[in-house]
Amino acid sequence: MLELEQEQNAYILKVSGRIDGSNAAEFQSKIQDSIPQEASTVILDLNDLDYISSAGLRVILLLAKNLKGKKGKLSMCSVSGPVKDVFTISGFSAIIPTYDNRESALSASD
Amino acid sequence: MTEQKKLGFILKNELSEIPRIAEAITQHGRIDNWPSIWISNANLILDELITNIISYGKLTDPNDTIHIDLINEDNQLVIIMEDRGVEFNPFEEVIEPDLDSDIGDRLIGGLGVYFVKILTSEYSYERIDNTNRIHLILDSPEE
Repeated sequence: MLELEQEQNAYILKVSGRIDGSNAAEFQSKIQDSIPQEASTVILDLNDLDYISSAGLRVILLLAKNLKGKKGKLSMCSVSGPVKDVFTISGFSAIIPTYDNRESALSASD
Repeated sequence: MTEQKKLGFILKNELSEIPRIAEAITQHGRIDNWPSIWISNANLILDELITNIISYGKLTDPNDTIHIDLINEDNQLVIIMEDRGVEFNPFEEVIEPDLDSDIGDRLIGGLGVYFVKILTSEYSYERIDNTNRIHLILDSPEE
């Protein structure tokens, strides 16, 4: 579901599989446990995310709000298919910077 | 009139049922040659509605079940969802989703029912014989 990597000054969360009403709470606690307090730049790599519902979007919005509160920023990369559709119709694509791939997201975070 | 093909489920009062039916709907949809958008939208819609019913405690008896039928008929996917929980019309939910505010101001909530409304061509709710009945229609995607 979640893997943390560090590259340059950014923390990259690789999210995979399904995030639905049954495991969104687990997703939220894993995010809280994974990201160090000092993290200010976080990139969600969604290349392997197959599905997300509003319960998962809620967790991502909370993360974005938390980072914004400490002058940090959240971005996303490699979003495609039905997952991309969900981010578009929810309006999340308009408020969370989204890049085609990880390299572009890292370049923008410099 | 074309042949009617129905897929039915009886779900326990548990969120863990969501991935189980998603897998079954995906497999059935592929075999029955559903448009791929039906598969993804039916999964999202049912996830949102089931999560609503179970998370907000609308089924008060642990043995309560949710009955779902998906019917492929006349180029439409008809979804019927019934439960005998507390009377609850999800389409009258007070919260309207906030789609415009910046991150700091954006309100959390209301998105699930919003997805159901915009991904269906028809949606309705009625309370009959102490049963909540939701009726949804997904049209075929335009060529």
